[in-house]
Amino acid sequence: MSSLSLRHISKVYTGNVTAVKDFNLEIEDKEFIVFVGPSGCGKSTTLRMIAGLEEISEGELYIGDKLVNDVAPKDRDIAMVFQNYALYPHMTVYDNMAFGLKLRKIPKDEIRRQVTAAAKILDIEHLLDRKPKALSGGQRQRVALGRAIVREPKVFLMDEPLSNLDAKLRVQMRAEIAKLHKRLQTTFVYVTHDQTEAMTMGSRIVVMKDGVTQQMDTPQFIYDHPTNIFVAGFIGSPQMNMLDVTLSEKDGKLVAEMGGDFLEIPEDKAAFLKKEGYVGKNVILGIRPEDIDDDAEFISLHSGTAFETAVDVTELMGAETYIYLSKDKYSMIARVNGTSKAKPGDKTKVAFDENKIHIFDKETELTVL
Amino acid sequence: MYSFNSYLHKLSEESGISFSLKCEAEGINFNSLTNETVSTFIFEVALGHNIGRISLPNNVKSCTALLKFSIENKYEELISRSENCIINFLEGKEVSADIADTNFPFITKGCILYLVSVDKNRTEVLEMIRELYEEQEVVCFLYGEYILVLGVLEEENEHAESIRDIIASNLFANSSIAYGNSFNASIYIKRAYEEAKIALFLGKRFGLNKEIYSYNAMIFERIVYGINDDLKKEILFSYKKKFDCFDNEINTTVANFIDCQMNISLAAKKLYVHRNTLIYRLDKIKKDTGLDLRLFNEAAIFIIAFLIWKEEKYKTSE
Repeated sequence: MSSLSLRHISKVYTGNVTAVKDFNLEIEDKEFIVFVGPSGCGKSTTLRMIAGLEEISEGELYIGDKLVNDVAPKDRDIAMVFQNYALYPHMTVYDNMAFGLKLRKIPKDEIRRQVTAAAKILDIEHLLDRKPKALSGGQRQRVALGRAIVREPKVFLMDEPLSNLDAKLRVQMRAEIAKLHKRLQTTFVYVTHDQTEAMTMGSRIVVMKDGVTQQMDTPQFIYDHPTNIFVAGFIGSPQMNMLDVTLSEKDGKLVAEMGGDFLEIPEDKAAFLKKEGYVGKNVILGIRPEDIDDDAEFISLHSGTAFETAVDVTELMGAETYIYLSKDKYSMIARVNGTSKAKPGDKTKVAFDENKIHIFDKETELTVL
Repeated sequence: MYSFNSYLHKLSEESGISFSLKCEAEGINFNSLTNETVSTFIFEVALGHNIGRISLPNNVKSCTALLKFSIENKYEELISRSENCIINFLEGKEVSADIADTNFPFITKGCILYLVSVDKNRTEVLEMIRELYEEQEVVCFLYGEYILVLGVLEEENEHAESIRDIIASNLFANSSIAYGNSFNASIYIKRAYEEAKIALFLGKRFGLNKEIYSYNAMIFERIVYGINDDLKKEILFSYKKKFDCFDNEINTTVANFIDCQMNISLAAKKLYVHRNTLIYRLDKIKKDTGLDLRLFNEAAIFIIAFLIWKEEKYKTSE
C-alpha cells in the first residue's frame, strides 16, 4: 500500500513530440484513480512512466516518500496488468500465477499460500490445474489479475485490461475489479478510454486530452461540474447536448435564443452571466440528455424552457427511451422514461431543467457556469 | 531442458554448501548464501566461453575442486554443447548430423527460433526465459545483440507474446521479438535465424512499432524492400506530399485499418472510435490521396506507397 506523487511530469519523444505535458497528481494510499481520455491523450504514457516502461523526460515521481525516477522499474514494488497480457500456454493456471514469485526466489510454501489466496479472491481455485487454452475470456482475465495480485505490490497499474473482452463480460469484470480494490485495500491506477468504466470504477478520475490534464476530481463532481466543453462531452453517455445559442434580454429576463425559441435562464445564473458580460454574446449551452423531458408534468414545472421540436428517432432501452430531436440547425438527445409515447415523425413539446444548464465560452471552450 | 539453475539449487541444498555463482555473459546469477555468511572465498569456473565467479564460505573452502568439477561438467552437459552446436550452424561451420541429433533430438518435432531484442537487462531476461521454459525442449542463450530462443513451441505467436509478457511484467522493459518459419531439421536453423533477423530489421526500417514480428506476416514489407530505387522514387513522387500532411491520428488509423484486414468494425473497436468516425477518416484519406482503403486494389497501392514513404522517413532520420 502506498501513495503516489507525480510532480510536473512530462514526456517528450525524439523529434520533439510531447506526449504528456506538466502532469501533476497526488494519489492517496488505497485510492482508485482512473486516467481516461481518447486515443493519444497520454494516459497510457503516464501509466508507463509510473511503471518505468517509459523514461520520465521531466518532473519527479514519488512512490510513498521515495523519489523513484532513477529506481529500476522492477524495484518500484508495482504490478501491472496490460491490455495485451499473455498467459504462458505451456503452463497451468497455478504455474502462470506462481511464475513471477518463482523468479523472485520466493520459497515454494509461500508461493502456494499466495497463489491459493489470490485464486480464492478471484474465484478460480477450481481452474488452477487447467491450461490457458481451456479457459474462457473472463477466466483468462482473472488469471492475468491473479498474476499481479500474488505479488502483493504497493501499487497496481492497469492499462485497459478489459478492452479485449466483449461488452457483457466487460461490465461484469469492471464490477469484479472494483470489488477487488475494496478487498485488497491497495492503490489502483487504471487507464481506460471508456468513460463508463472511469465513472463506475474510480474514486477519482483524471480526464486527459493531447497530453494535458483537463480535470481531475470525483466522477460525480466531474459529471456535474465539467471544466470545459471537452470534459462535458467526453464524460456521460449519451453525451451532453451542445447548443450554439445567443444570450439576450427579453422582457427583463435573460434568455438563450435558440432558433426562434427563447429559453429562460434562472435568475442566479442570469445575474452571473450579466456580470461577466455575456449578454448579447454567442455561447455554448450544454444540457445533459436526462435533463430534457417530454413529460407533461416536467414541462409545466420548467415552462420557461419549453419548446416544440421534431422527433427523428426513438430508441427504447428498456426502462428509458432515447429520443433524437431536431429543430432547425439544432439536434439533441433526450433520455426520458421508457413509457414515453414519442414516435419518429412526431412533433413534441420538451423542456430543459433550467437549473442543470451549463454555459461554455465559445472561444475558450471553458465553463462559464 | 534448461535446468542448470535448478541443478545449482539442488546441488546447494543436497550438499549443504551455500554459494553464489555469477556469470553475466551466460545469464547466470545464482545465490544461496545467507546474510550471515561473513567471509567468503572466491574462485573462477569455466562456463562455455565465459568465466563465472563462485563465492563460498571459508569453512567449506576444501570443497572448491569438487564444486568446480560438478558445475563445469553439468554446464557442459546441459548448455554449452547445444549452444555451440547452434552457433556453429549460424556461422556456417560444418556440424555432423550425429552431433546435431545428439544435441537436438527434439528438432524433428518441429522447432521455432525467436530472436529477442531488449534495450536493457539482457542477462536477467535470459535468466527469465530459461526459467519460463525450464521443463521444455528449449535452448536459449545470448547471441550478439540478441537473445536466441530455439525450441519445440507449437503456438508460436502465443509463445512470442509470453516472452514479451514476462519481460514487460517482471522487468518493465520493452522488447522486440521476431520469428521465422518453423523447421524440423538442424540445417534450417540458420535460415530461421536469418528470417527472424530480417523481420526485426524490416520492422524497424518501416517504423512498424510493434513488439512481435512474424517473418511470414511481413510479405508487403519484404516486397517493398525489394523494389528498385527508381521505382520507389517514382511512387514516392506521387504520394510523398500527401502522406507528409497526415497527422498522428490518420497514421494510427491507417496502421490499424490495415492491421484489421480492412474490417471497419474491428478497426473502429481497436481505435476506440465510433465506426462513423472511422468512415469519416477513411473518406478524408480518399479525398486527400485519391485512394480508397476500403477497395482491395487501392488499398494494396496505398500500403506499398505508404511503406515506401515510411522507409524514406526512416532513411532520412538515420
